[in-house]
Amino acid sequence: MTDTVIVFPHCAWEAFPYGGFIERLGRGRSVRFVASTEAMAGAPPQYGAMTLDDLDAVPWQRTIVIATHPSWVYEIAGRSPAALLVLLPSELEQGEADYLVCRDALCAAATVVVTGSETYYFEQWFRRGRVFLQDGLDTASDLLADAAASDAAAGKSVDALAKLQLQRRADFRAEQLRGLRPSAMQFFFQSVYHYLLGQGEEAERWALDAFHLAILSAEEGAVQTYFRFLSVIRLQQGRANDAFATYGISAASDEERGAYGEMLELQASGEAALAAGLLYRMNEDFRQTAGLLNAAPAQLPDGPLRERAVSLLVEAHERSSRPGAALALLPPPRTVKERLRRNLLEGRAYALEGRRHDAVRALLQAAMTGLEPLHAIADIAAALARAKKLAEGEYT
Amino acid sequence: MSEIPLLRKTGGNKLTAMMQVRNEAGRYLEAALADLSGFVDEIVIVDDASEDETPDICRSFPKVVRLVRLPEPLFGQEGRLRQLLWQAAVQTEPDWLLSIDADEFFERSAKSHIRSLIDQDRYDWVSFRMYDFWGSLAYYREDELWQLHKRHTMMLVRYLPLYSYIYPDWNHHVPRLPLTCSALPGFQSELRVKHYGWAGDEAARHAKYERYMAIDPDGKWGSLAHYASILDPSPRLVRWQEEAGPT
Repeated sequence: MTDTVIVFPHCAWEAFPYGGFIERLGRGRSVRFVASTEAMAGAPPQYGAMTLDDLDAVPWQRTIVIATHPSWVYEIAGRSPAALLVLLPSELEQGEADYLVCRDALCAAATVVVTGSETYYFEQWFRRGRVFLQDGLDTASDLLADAAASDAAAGKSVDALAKLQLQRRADFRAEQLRGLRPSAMQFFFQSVYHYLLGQGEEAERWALDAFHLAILSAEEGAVQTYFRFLSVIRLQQGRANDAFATYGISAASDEERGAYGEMLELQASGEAALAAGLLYRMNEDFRQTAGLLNAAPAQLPDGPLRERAVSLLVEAHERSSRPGAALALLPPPRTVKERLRRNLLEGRAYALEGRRHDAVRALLQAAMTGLEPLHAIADIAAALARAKKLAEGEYT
Repeated sequence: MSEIPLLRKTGGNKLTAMMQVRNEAGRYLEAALADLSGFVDEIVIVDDASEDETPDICRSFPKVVRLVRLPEPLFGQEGRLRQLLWQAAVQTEPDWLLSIDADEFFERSAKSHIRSLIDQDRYDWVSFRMYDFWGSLAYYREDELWQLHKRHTMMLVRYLPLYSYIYPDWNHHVPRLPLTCSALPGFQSELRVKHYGWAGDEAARHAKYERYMAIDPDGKWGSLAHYASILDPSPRLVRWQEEAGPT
């Protein structure tokens, strides 16, 4: 049972776009914002303001957290609330590299993610499930995102709602496209919707339309952007050999050609899941890579195949901002480089568990062999400083 | 577990030439097919309703494995004609396709390089320098409006069955190969191809001019200035020097 809502906002109350949702969610619950009293001017009187120091006294197991700015990530880390709802306005989706680390880590930890743009919505879908879009273009779709956030706060599954929203968005966009000038990227988005829904035929048709339109418009990189996507669509349809061949056609760089060769070898030696995992990885669908290979380390005997499965899984977890999951899979380090990697991952994982001192210690150990860990420490410090400013009502 | 065939082979590639023809008897067709028979594996031809002995000439060459005869000419539907030819050609299950006209000839050195151009796994198309011969087989034309040889013309493509090949739905001046081919990695060679389409006498060129103007009087599909230049009485001509290539 949850009785508290803590909001980590990105702006003062007067500009806060999620007021209606907070009002619904806050019924029967205590609602507090991590913000200055001034920033809460005009808010309903029952909404209290709190400081960062107050956070230690919150009953987290009975608390729903709503975060609307990535820089809160290390303040929320390790607190284990009953639900973490990340509602990210589209204007806060992009930034410098260190900012994006916070953004992705916060989303990875969330119970549900509600994005403000279609591009980040898809990006998240290729890293995790329970992702929703609320961009103000389609009321029905926006309401589904609201419903999902409420259900997640109540501890209910939101998978069916996520699917429903994908279908609704696909229908809405298809309707819109009838009146718009054709665009390869819009066609591609339609393909992605149908792919995420497991509707292979439609996904293939839209992807081909996107590819052909890109060619007719002399768009650069059409094969890698649009045609390659057909490989995972065909894999999803159960046409594994066609899928690998499709990827092979699009493979241009040495790395891509090497990956294609490896897929063929794995497939020929009966390692279909590993070959498919690699294909998903080369299409940057880390959600599918992890889903396919999660069980592989336990099932495969020690040897090169197991090592390969582990390396793909570790990468999928890292690219999905789950350093802790990646760390759990890493074998004991044998070289200085491996030791550095482990310490770096440890540092990042500890930071996201709220263990700041352990994080800094691990990163300092890693810093003996390179500069990257020092940058990681600086990035964490910068995020904490930004969070402090947000808490004090400085939103610029 | 079924073996997945290699997409790009470094040897043993089958090369199919594809050609569309119409009323070519008495011109270069026989020479072109004899020449092609020396370096390609198979030839596929679509005959656009010829009214002369063109089909018989085609059939007399053993490497012509497929001859599709259209009962009515696809005049003004060039996109459809190109599609038909492509579909007929890929039915021979080629590794590579060479798109060539009945008045085009590879220079000797180009022919000698053709196998090394296709027996590799890096590039999926090859382009060549095409020269417009003018008034004879000794000179090509080079002036402001006749510079085809300064660009590259894609003629040779790898056939990848799962790739998507599309032609634009145009009536005239449709590219000889699907538009999507050029999105794959390719190689721009300096090897040369001789185009004899303008090598005939003045009357033949005048007839071609009349035909272009009848098809495209407003210059919708091509340039009117270019059409007019066909009648130029003193174009700039350059003597051709054949490169033999390795023996």
